[in-house]
Formats: sequence, structure tokens, C-alpha cells
Amino acid sequence: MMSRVPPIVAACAGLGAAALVPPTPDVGREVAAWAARPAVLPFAWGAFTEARDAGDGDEVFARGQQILRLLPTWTDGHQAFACDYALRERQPAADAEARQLDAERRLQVAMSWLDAARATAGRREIDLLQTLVMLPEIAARQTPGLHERLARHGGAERTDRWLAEAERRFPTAAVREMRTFFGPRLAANMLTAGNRDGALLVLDTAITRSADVRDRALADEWAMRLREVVRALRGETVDLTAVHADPRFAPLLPFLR
Amino acid sequence: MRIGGRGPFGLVLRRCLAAVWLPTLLAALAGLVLQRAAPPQLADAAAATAAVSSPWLMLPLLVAAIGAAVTAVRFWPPFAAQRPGAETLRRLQRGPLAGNGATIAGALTAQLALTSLVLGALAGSFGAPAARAHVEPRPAREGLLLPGTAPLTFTAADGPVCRTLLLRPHAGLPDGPITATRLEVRADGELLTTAPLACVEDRQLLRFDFAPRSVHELTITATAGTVPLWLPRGAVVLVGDAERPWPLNAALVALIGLVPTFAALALALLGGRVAALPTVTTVVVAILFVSIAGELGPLPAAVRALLRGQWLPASPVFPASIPSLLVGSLAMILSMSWPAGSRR
Repeated sequence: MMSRVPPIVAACAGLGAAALVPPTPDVGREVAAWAARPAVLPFAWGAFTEARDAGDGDEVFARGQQILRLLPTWTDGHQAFACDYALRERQPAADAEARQLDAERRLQVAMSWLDAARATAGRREIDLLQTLVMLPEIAARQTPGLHERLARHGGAERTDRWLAEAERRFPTAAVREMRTFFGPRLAANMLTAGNRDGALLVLDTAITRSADVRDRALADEWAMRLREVVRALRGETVDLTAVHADPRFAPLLPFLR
Repeated sequence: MRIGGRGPFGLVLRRCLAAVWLPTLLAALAGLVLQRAAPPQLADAAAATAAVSSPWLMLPLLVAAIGAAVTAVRFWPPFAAQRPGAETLRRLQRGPLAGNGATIAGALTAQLALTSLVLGALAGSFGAPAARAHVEPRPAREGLLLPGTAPLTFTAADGPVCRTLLLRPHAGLPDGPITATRLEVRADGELLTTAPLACVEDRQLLRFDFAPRSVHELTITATAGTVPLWLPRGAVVLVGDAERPWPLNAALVALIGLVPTFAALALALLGGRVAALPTVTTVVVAILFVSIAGELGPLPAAVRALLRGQWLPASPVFPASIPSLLVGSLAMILSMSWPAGSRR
């Protein structure tokens, strides 16, 4: 007969640990997600793929949210799903006002999702903050008139607030400059989500943001590399030797073959 | 089959209802709680909330199907080999299936009753939209669409009255630097929308509404761009204007839900000629899990169609049920021609 002592000792040790460090609701949620992941994730990914093939943009993002709730620390996933949603038009509209309204609503939802994801991002929170700073600018490039609309609704103040938050949370002089260097990874996430137009918008924004870099020689070289990547993604024949040699472009290389 | 209640049909029906109603109710409540616990965060949440609720609706359907099938198999001894009382029942019931056909019918009826109630209650609370027919017009010819190539025409039989067009073209390798291909869509010669329709990604959804009108022929022309588009059957879908009540659609889903259970029980019946109860039970559970949770059967597609507001009789879900029905029917025929105990 199996001895009852080890389970009793284990139970006592568990209770003792719980008494010393009481588990918080967040820990409980994380444990529940950890237990549910292996059983639920394969079906959630299957449903996500099916939604991309047969559903609309709203359903794709909603299915993505179901996956992200199981993987709350996956910041690349948060960025890819949220940016894809913000930059994918739900319905072509002849009326510019309707397009702007729809784009603004999608942008607000995506930013609200990214903001909520910061709580679980840990040291990758800076990536989410950089995305929050860049996303309105990227969306404004896609939808004419959106920049003015966002400006009327306090868009510039919001961007400044995210940038200030990034500088407060990660106090380094390079935070403002990091936006442009963050472009390739965000563009790679967009390409993984199947949104080539979105990736090109991200890279165009990164080229513009290269003006923030104080070292002008570095900025010019970086902008040149980004332009080469943009041309390659547009289907032009470009010499990408320098891009391949630069490790900062590693996330984009699978899409440049 | 004696409908009065003393035959295998009535006995199995009552037993299944008694054994499965509580697990099904608990699964439905769990589905409701889980769906409410994490609503999607979207600009227009109404439609997508229903569409992404399919896992929570599938949960009670899966429980009801497995519960009814396992209860029937365990309740009726002739379903498996070497069970006490099986020989006596075979002699009493006579017939090639020894009451097993009525047992399957009883389990299916119980499942239908339970799933109809669950679907009626949950689909409504999940916000299932009114159903509209999704019509796939036939292409006159298949070919690539590029500026300068001939337009593609699609014909819809009977000219249904429609209000929305969904285009999901396959994109090929670009002919030069990538520029989105712009499309112009005409219905019976009239321009359907002035909104810019541009496609650059493979299977990119282009969706637009138009004033309800009868559509006999669609003509799609590429006006600019370098990405060649291919529109096979299914890539162009017209959404009808007439709304059908979703409860009727839900009842059809409940009917489709019987198909995997029928196939699982028929195959288990065939296996039960030589296999004992644990094996037969495992076969039933495995087949139902694979066909419902693993999405090999028609039920998941039917549930998604219900929650996306697609009218089931006009969808490809019914034809997708035919293979499962054929497998089940073949297993039943083999069971009849291979009576239990013939090995001895």
C-alpha cells in the first residue's frame, strides 16, 4: 500500500507556501491560463485561421483576442493583431467622412487593446508603448484626413502622453529615437499577419521618424536601408546585401527572399 | 420500434434525457459564463460577438452528443459483444438489428430535443443575427483578372434579390512593382458601387453593400494594378436581402448535429459485433470528439454559419453532411448483413 506521508507533506508545504505568499487573483488567472493553454490553443488557432479564410476583419481580431487572452505576455502577437485591425479597412467607402470615422474607431479600439496589454508585457512594455506612439501616425498615412480628425480629438496630446510615458518608464535619451529602429520588427509582425500594405505604411513612417536620430550619418544610412526594404517589398529589384548584413533587419529577412 | 414507451426507442429516449439533461445544462451555463466573461473588444462588436461565440455554443452540443451516444451504448446490451442479457434481448427483439436501430433513433431523438433547446436559448443570448442566403454565382469561365484582360462574368440562377457582395480573390505574383489591383463590379450592366475596390493580398476580403436589387449577372473588371487576381467558385458571394428567422436556422443546426452521432453509433454498432463495451464506448467518444471538436464533421461549420447569419439551406453545410451520412448508412447495412454471434 502506498504511503500517505508524501502527499500529506506536500499538502502541508503547499498550504505553508500559500500562507507565506498569498496568491493574488492575477496569479490565479495566470495558473488557469497555463492549465487551459494546451487544451484550448490548438482549437483557438484553428478558429483564427478559419476566420481569416471565411470571416471578416472584426471576427479575425476577436478570434485573435481569444488567443491573446491565453498568451497575455506575447507582445508581438498583441502588436500584430491590433495593428492589422487598425490598418485593415472593414468596408470600402466612397465617402471620405465615413472612411475617416471607421478608421478612427478601429484605431481607438486597437490602441485601447495595446494599452491594456501593457500590464502583462513586463520588460517588453516599451515595444507596446512605441507601437502606441507610432500607430496613429501610420493610420493617418493610410486614411487621408484622419490626421486632421485625430488632431481635432486630441490625437497629438495622446501621442505625446504615450511618448512621455515611455520616457518615464524607460528613462533613456534614446527612447524618442528608438521609434524608427522599432519599425522593422513591427513591419515583420504586419507581414506575418498577411498585411503587406500595413507593413509598407510602418516602414514609410519609420523612414520619416529617422529624422529624430541625432547622429545624422547613422540616420541617413538607416533611412537608406529602410528605403531598400520598401522597394524590395514593392517588388522592385534591389541589392539587399547591406540589409542582410544588418542584424536589426533580421525579422524582415524571411519576407525579402 | 414501439413508440408507446416500452420498446427500445422509448426506453433509450427516456434514459438519455434523464442522464444527459443535467450535464448539457451545466455545459450550456459554463458556455454562457465563459462567453460573457471575455467579450471581444471591437469597433462594431455586435456581429463579431456572435460569430466568435462558436466555441461556447459547441461545448453543450458536444456534451449532449457524447452523453446521448454513450448512454445509449451502455444502456442497450446488444450494442456490444459479451454483455449479460444481450442474447436474451436479441431473441426477444428479433430483426436484423436486434433493437439497435431503435436504440440509435432514441439517442438521436434525445439529442435533438436537448440541442434544440440549447441552441434556441444560447444562440439568441449570443446575438445570432437573422439569417440571409449566401449565394455563390457560377463563373462563366475561370481566368486571371488583370488590367487589359477580359472581364469575368458570374451568373446567379433565378436572379436573387441581394444587398451585399463579398469578394475574396486569390492573388498571384505581381506583374512588375506591386500595385493593388482596382476592380469595377457591375450587376446586369449597372455599376454596383463607386467605392474604391482594391486588392493586393491573397484572399483579402472586399465587402460592400448596395441598394437591394435582383442580380442575374455580375461582371468584374480590373481597371488598374499589377496583382493578378483569380476568382474561382466561392470567391464571389452575393448576400440575399430577405431575412430568415434565426430560430429556424438553429433548428437546422440541431438536425445537422445528429449526423456525426448517427455515424458514430452506426460504426460502434458494427464494431460491437466483435468488441466489448469499453472498446465500443471509446470508439463512440473518439469519433464524436474528432468530428465535432476536431471539425471533421459538418456541425462546427453549421454553428459558425448560424452565428454569422448565413441561411443554412443555401450554404454548403448540407452537402458536407453527405459523407458522414453515407459512412453511417454503410455501417448500418453491414451490421444488418453481419448478425451478432455469427462468428460462433
